[in-house]
Amino acid sequence: MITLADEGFTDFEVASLRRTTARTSRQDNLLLGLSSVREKEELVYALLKSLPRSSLATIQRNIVPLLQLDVVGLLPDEVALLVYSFLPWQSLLTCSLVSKRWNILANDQGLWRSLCAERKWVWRTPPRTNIPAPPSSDPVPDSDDEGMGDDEESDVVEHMLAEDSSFSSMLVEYTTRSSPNATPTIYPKSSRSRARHSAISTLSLSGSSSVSLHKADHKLLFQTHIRLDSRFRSASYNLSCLQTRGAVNGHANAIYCLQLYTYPDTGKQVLFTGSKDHTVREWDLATSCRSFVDRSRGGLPSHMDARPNYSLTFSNGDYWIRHPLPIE
Amino acid sequence: MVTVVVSDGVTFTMEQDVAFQCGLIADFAGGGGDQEEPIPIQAVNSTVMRKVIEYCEHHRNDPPQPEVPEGTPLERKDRRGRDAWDKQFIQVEQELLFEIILAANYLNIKPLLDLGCSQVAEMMKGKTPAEIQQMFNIVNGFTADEEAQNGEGEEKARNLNS
Repeated sequence: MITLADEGFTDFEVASLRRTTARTSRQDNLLLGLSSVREKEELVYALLKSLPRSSLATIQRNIVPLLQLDVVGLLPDEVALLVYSFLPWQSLLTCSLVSKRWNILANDQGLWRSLCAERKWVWRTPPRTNIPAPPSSDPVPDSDDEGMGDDEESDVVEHMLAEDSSFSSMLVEYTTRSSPNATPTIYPKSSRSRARHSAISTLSLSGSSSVSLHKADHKLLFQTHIRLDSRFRSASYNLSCLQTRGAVNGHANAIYCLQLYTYPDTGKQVLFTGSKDHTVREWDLATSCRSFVDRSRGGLPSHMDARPNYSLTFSNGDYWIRHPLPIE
Repeated sequence: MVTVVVSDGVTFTMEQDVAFQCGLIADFAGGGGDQEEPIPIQAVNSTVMRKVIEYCEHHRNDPPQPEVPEGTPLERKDRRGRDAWDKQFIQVEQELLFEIILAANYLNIKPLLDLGCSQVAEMMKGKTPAEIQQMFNIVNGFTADEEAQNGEGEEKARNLNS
């Protein structure tokens, strides 16, 4: 609120301004004396009216940037994020390059999570087998798992999907852990779930493997999906032939099952193949070198699965055969 | 009738179904009859309040908007509740748009907040970072290092788009 004394003073000033050309010091006094926005506005209008049209045009040009404001940057975070939620992902990437604040806002996990959710892309943490359970938080005895067939099954599926997309396996920094025994172990097929289960126990008991759990990064997930997709569409992938016809060390018959795998410590990417010729082979995807893994003990390898720092498991009809990885 | 008084001292009187689209006023008045005292709304000035009331009067007969669950495709989310009138209504200069968004947020008028925010988003679509900086008068404040990184990022984004 302005005092009455003030009002009188400014009125006088405005009046005097209209009469005479104001000096700089006077202008300063004048601005200081005006305490309400409305008075300032009136003064400006009065000044503008007194100016020739050409200077009005210049003023108009100069005043435009003053009216532009960083709308998004000035809004509260949650409202700025609402603005971004109306943007397609391409624009979000652009926005992250506008300013520091925009960068922080446009990298918001929530935004990318909902973009991923639209496309049903889910971040999967690495399989449970790699996470040593904290002793206090998991009081459930191991034997409880036996009855939960469904859970077991869904866990397998989820795990395989995670491996399949190879996000987690490539991103996690696993610390290397020497395999407890280097020879292949054979389990009767009927005790499959038990075999998996005992493996979990071994890991959580060993405990020495400190796994650095990464947080879900939905922006990375989204970008990786888009990148893979665009590479696939534009056929910008490297098509290479792993085995040429009649090669000495290759498969002699049809391939029944495949498993991609990335060695967590070296980053080496390999493909395991099981073939009708009763052998399982490992292919180094970088060099196309193959190494012999196993003669599948008389059976036909029909499906397989590989776990980081753990093992390659494959079925040969009657048995599940487990190889500790890496294979020496 | 509900009466409010805004930051520059102007009072507005409106009917209840208009006023109660503002979550804040509905909460304040508590739904119980006519208000004797005008409700003070210090965060909003009369220019903006006039706009807000114009919006509320136009939408007084709208059915309540259902919540949009996460994962709704953008196209569907963007389209809801934006008719030609809305588009015309929100064609205002940046300063007023900014103040309308703030007011809608403060007064808790979700459809108006969405309208304002989607309008800002609309302004940014298909623009380059430099164009956005110019449009919103933003000094980017990135260091030379970050700028170089951004260059790479931009390159990547372009590759993704192609």
